[in-house]
Amino acid sequence: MVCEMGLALESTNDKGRFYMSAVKGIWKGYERYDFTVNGREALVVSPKEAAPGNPWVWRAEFFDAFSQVDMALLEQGWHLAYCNVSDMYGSPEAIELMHPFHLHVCSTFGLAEKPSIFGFSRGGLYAVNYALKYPESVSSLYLDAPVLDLRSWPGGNGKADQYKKEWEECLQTYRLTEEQFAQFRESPLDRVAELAALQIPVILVVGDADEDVPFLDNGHPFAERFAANGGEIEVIVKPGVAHHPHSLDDPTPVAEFIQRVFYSESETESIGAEWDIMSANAAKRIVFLGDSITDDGTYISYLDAFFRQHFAEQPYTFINLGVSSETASGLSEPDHPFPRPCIHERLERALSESRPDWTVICYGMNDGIYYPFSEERFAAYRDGMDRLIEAVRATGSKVIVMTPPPFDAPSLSGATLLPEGEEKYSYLTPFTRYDDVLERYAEWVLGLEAAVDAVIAIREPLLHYIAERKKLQFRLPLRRRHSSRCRRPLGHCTGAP
Amino acid sequence: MFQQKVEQGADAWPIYPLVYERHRLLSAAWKEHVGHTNENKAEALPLDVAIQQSELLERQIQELLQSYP
Repeated sequence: MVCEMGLALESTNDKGRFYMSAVKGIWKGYERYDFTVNGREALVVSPKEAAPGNPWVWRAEFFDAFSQVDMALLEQGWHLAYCNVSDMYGSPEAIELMHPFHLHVCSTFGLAEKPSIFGFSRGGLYAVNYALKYPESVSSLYLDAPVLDLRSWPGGNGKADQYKKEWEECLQTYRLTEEQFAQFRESPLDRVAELAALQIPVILVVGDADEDVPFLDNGHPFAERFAANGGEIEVIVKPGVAHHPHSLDDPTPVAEFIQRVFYSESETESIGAEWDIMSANAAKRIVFLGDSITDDGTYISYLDAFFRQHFAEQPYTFINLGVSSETASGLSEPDHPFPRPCIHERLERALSESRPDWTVICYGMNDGIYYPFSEERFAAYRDGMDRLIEAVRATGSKVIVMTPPPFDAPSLSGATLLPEGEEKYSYLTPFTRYDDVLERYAEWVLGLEAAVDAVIAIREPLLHYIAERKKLQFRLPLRRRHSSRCRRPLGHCTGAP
Repeated sequence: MFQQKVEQGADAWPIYPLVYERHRLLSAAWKEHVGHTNENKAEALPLDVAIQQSELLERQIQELLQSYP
């Protein structure tokens, strides 16, 4: 499986030195690094190109078994990682062995702080117990036919028989006698309420004919209690399926759940991190520049209300200077009822009057003027944004740039979508694939990190949000989703002039 | 946490209607105070008047914040 090449990389930095002690190989066409952490065998598989934020999957047990979701995410830029702590049944000792591995791969491979932990079968013990011990270090849990009660497995105190060898091993690793175990209340099932309070979303995949780790003794009570205690959980039950095969033929629902959680958190943390910086600097005036998405004011009001409730001790002022139809590029489509306003026409006065400590910038939706992509229009957008950032920075203000939100053509009402090749387009007759243009603009904005104080990637979370809202997929009784009430946290996020 | 709160229903937060009202009052005033070339002008109070009026809303928001945990 692993082609041991024993490559020694030439880099002299810390990462390079680490790689020199690892064995680099190729696994299913991807680079794989095998190494040890505190004497435990470990590995990381790298994607061809890492997804934004360097997300990763941590297989708590059984690496490469029923790996449909792992592979789907790997293909989409997620790293895979595994550390061998087998036969320890998620005991406190095992959890303490897992943590140095976690820290090690984050620092060495630059991975995100919060992985999605996969708990297959007895791996469920490790996944849940790790989340309970290090909740700040876990994005989501994917539990698949998981063991969640040691009494059930390997104990055999339910619908399954006892697994004698594993039971003895389990008692030994927990350092308990049979008598002491009767009083043991530290299985994941005993701590569901505690886990739910940590707000780590969980997706559970189970077969309802599992006789080895019975659903009714493990996943079912776990999901019921977790949901009852306010936890976010999705449950996918496979009718008539036993312990094996794990996972799903089509891993999409699980992969999408994990991605949605990760990217939702990234956005939140980005805002939270910036707020920490702002607090430290006693910043008080936060000015928003943008088009109708900003002018609408909904997302700024949400921020305002949120900070009043959760950061009441910090004084601040949000100033919304968004103007509908505005651009950073100065472009305007011929059929627009009046030449589009451009931020540069009012920028000097806007900055001198509002005197921002922080300036949040969000342009792009109107800058492609609803035409297909062109290098000329793209250059005008980049130039307008570069000049805007430079002017704001010259005032001493910090700069936060948001990617343009997506353009959701199917949701438009009153507009006629036009195919490629038309002579003219406008916000009332936009190019049907105008979102392709915004995708390129957003990609460029993401690359501005070195030029600004923060970049907030709102495109991907909104795409996920829109996709979720459109889904009409089956829902199981325990599946709990966010409310489907229509809200527009980013105003005209589906596209408007 | 922010996104979760929003998805749980930001517009149902007790203070939200007042925060939004205050926001609209001030943002319209700020926009017209700075000036712009969109032909559609917002109905706006002069900025100093809007700031004065916003103080009443601010007091109501603070009272509401004190009234629930």
